[in-house]
Amino acid sequence: MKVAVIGTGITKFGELWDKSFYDLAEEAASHAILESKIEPGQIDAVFCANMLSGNLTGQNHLGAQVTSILKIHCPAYTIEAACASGGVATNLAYLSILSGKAKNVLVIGVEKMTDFTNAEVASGLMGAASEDERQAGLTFPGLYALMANAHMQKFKTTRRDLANVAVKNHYHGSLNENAQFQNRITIEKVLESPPVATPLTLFDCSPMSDGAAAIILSAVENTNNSPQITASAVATDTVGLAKRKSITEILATKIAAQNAYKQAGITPADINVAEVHDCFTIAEIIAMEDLGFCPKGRGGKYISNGSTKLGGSKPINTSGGLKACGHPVGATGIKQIIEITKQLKGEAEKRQVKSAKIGLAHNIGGSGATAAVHILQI
Amino acid sequence: MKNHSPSYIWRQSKNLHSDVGKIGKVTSFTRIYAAPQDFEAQTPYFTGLVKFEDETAKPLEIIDGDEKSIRIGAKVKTVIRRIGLAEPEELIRYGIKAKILK
Repeated sequence: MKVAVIGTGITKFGELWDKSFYDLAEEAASHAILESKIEPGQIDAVFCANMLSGNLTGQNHLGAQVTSILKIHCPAYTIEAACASGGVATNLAYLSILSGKAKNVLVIGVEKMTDFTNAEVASGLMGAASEDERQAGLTFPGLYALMANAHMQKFKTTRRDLANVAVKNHYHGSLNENAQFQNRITIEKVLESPPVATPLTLFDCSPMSDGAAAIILSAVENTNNSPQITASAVATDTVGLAKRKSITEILATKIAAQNAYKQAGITPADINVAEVHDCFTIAEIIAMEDLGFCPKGRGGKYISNGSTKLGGSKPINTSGGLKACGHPVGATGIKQIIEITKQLKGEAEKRQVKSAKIGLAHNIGGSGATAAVHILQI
Repeated sequence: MKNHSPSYIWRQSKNLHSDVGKIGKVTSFTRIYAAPQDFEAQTPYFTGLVKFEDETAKPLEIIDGDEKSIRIGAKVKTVIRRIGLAEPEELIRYGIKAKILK
């Protein structure tokens, strides 16, 4: 038995003032079901990923909200693992199929962020950090800025290396009609944008976004032209940065990646295309190292030399990543699976990576307390 | 969501005395320009990670320094300060901050 991605549905990401949580969920779920060619009644379980709904709007109980939109009565679960909610929901959905109790499952991530002020969302997101980090006046850009400063000091990573991540991901976003930002930017634009948490500027940071993404996973004997999930791994670490041995790596990523490579029986060199968690530019640099795509400390140079741009040896974040495609928190991990699915099926249009056969999705929660890594193959 | 419960604030404060007067070094820092709700009034401000002589580490606001004196490796001492800005009807929170030693 294999677990295949048989349907995908995604909304545009961005400031979608005319669309509610329910509109977004319905749009993504309906498209995924349509593409999968199954009927809603054939869905055996729903996994809904979300982080902020209860906190910002007071609305909880989201699993049943989704089943009621679809007018079905199967079991439904809400999954929260900060920004890794989507990856963790996919992992649980995968395990539910392996259990033999479910054949078809819907995994959906939905987030509505732009109705709220920056400070409200910043406070909400800090729910993914530790109590002492909130007391220290830290923010998520601030936590990643601490990692960036340490990485810059230890490995001579530069502000230009950070800026190159944003420039590349905006270029990729310009080729994705669902991306929040489809404008190309320059290194100077990044360096000159207002500071958010030094050394990170506005253009080092992923935006606040509304959006939804949904996939149907199914137990199949023959995958036909659907990508198969050949590895699904989740690992965790301390919620706060201070208790970690090193803040220039994310240990949870390294553990999840090692387990994923083992499950799939491949090495980092075999990956043709990857979506990684670039909530801030430094996060993509550290991810390159932790996923084994380049030696430790070389992530900045690896990206700056063009290896990870479309046309390079290992294109990273062809969707535009969190930076340019947008980061509706709960939807992000599922969007990554959808982008890899499109790449493997040859349906990524202007941003297609030639003959991509093996793809990886890497989703982080908080400052690295949760990491989910999936490998898809066709 | 902020926890307003007086018992919660008391629990946070009850061991404060053991954290005061400790000497440590800044292991990383940042200057925050976009702050959470309680801290908006004090932007921009410095915060970071401090490693103490007993090898424990804490995230702490860094005070009484500037762009020149606040750097990785800078020596600090912990002091009691007000944390964030409370609403008029809330308890004022106190906690530890890291003061740059000249």
